Amino acid sequence: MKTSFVSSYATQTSMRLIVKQAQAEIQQLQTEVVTGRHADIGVALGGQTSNAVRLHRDFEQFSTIQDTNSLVDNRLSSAQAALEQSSTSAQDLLETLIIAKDATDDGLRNVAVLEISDSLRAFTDTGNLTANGEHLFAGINTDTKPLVDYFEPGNAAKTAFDNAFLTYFGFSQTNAATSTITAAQMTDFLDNTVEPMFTGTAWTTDWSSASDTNITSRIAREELVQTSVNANSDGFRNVAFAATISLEMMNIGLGEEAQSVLVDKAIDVAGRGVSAVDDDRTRLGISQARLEKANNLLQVQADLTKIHVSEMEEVDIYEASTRVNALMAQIETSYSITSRLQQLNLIDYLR
Amino acid sequence: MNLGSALNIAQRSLSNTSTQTTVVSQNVANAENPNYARRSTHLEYDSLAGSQIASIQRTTDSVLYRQSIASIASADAQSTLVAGLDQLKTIFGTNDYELSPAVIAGQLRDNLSAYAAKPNEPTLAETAVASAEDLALSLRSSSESVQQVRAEMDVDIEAQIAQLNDMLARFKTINDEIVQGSYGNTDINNYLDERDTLVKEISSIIEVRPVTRSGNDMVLYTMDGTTLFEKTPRSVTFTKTPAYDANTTGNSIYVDGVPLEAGSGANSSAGGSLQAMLQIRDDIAPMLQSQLDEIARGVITLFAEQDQVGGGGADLPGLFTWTSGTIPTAGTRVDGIASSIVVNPAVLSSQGGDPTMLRDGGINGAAYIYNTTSAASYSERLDNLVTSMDEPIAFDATSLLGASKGLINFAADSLGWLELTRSDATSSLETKEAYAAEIERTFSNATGVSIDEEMSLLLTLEQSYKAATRIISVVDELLETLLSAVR
Repeated sequence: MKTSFVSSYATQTSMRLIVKQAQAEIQQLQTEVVTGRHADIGVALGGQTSNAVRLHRDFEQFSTIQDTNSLVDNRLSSAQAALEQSSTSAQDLLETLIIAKDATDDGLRNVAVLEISDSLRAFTDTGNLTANGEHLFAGINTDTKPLVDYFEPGNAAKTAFDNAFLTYFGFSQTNAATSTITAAQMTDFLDNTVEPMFTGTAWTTDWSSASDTNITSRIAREELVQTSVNANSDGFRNVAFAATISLEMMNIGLGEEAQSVLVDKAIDVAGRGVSAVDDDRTRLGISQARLEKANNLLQVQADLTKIHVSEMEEVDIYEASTRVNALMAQIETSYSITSRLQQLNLIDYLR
Repeated sequence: MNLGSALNIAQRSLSNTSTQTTVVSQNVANAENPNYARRSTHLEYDSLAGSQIASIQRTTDSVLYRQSIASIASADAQSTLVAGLDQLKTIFGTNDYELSPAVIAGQLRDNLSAYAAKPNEPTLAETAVASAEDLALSLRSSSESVQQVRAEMDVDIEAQIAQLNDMLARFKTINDEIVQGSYGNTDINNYLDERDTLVKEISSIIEVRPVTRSGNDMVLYTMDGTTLFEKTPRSVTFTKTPAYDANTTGNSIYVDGVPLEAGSGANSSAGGSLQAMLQIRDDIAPMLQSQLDEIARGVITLFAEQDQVGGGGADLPGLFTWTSGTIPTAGTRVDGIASSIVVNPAVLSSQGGDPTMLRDGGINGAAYIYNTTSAASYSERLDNLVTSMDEPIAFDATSLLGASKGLINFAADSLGWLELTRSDATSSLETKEAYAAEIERTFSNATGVSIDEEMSLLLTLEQSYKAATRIISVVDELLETLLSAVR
């Protein structure tokens, strides 16, 4: 007959599972104390793991956009600086033209023509500026120089103008007959022959190889902005227009009326050019402002994501180390109970 | 009544005491043997001998024994399941899941957006293509590893079935001894211990329900009622499949011709490791594979090139392609597509391709060129690719992760699904192990040996032995007295 319901085996091994579990937990807590994260994130988070992975990806994405935004910022500031120079050149051109309006003798006009060619050169140079290996004003066609050099021998733009002049008037600019050009002829020539050469498709064959499509950049997850202006914009066209007509016809011995029509037109066009360049600057300025806002927002988003991730994945190190101590105490207690149980044996008392 | 019978009874008592002492010493010797059931002696009156005789009995508790078998079977099954899930999780790397398609797809997205920010930079194209190769590799090697896990399950199942058949053969030998011994009235208790132990061991492979019939003959049934052993072992057969792919269905395990069901659920219904291994092989690993296939199909679809000239050409694989070289039907899984996904050789500079086709399109010929003016900073296509990775696309609902989701979300949810299963399975394992340990303790308390009890019993036996010897010496004295009176 069995009288007791405690077996020696069960007594000896009762602490076994406790010790086994406590030891496993200590091992896990040690990792957690050192890394500050759950030892096994998958087991700790279960189905929430997908969120943790997503948040990590989001954080990486925010960092990537922040990195690319510095590139965008660089492009925008370079373009802004270049446009400022363009604006100055256009302004110089305008001033020269205003002074030249009253110039009556060839000498003064010649000086004006020289100054205008300087302005056009400077304008072309800034239009062809590169930053970070990209032509700033080439639209998306960044590997091609957008503007031609008007002063290069055999330049298509100059040839086109010379041909247009010859076709319209029947003689070239160097012909003495230029003095016979009437104001009406000049107005018609400028408005209907020369202007379309700058506002129409001829611009993109003779003057510019820029793409009409501007560079757009994703500056936030949901925000795409224009981050360049191109040499096909009104600013570039008008400045080139004003410079070309004044260069080519300012000092070719036009009659007074025709000269006045020409200079007035040049001043008008140059003025429009200056304000169009400034419009481009404004456009880029808006993008710059949006970029700055986007960067601030990205920083906030990145910080929040980081906080969310750590709320999910991180363990309270203080709690973990306290728990290690508690578990060690528990194991020690188990050991001492086991050893006391060993001694608790009738055999020792039977003599 | 005479002095002679008193002497006989005293002798009987001595003999009983020595039997009882033997039992006590046997109990003490096996005190630390978990599979030993305590023996006890019962004194019965034998009318023929005219005295009490001691018979040895074995303590049993059939209810606790059944519970003990069931708890061992379910704990072993759960631990097999958890081990399998751990193995599947390891495929995707450590805590950061650095090898998972979700993380690598995210890197691809980041590299694409870096490229989109500076499309005239060829090294960024190379970087994006390199991370595309990482993604394709991750999908291929993950599905290879998943199938490898299934193949390993088959190897383990085969080994365990060999072990099971051995144990059943041993079971027959022992069962036969017990049946014979029961009729022949010999001591079968050691055999009973051995048989009970064997049933526990069999249950850790396949859970059984033991039924004892007349003559201590034991019959074993599996939990679905199939006979595993009756007089003779029934055949447990299985044919290993040497290699697995997404379209392979593993062979069933047949117990007496009846296929064994796989376990189901994270807190598995499986009893014994075989069912748990079937669950990994036929349920969990194929589901994971189907999710990988859906990720691969999604990736191929997202990066497809559309006809740009309005010629009505079909969408064709762009950055990623696979064996058939077509765009699979939307929202319908293609089994095994993850094993054959590759980066299109047309963009691999190592194979004479041009990585900038990622920006320009045209992998499938002139009609598929997006960047029609060959502009160096054309970023529209790249930007569309970047945003498309987060936009919902159609997924096959049978992959359990929803029918419409962004690609990266889908890939992350696949990890979530696996980890949810693993987390639930792990906590169930703790419960089941604790339960098994508790049952083992209770069972041991009910049927095991308490040395203290044996010692106190020994004291009683000592006293009764002393008393019997005292009777003998008193009878001896009485007889001496009688004899000396006669002399």
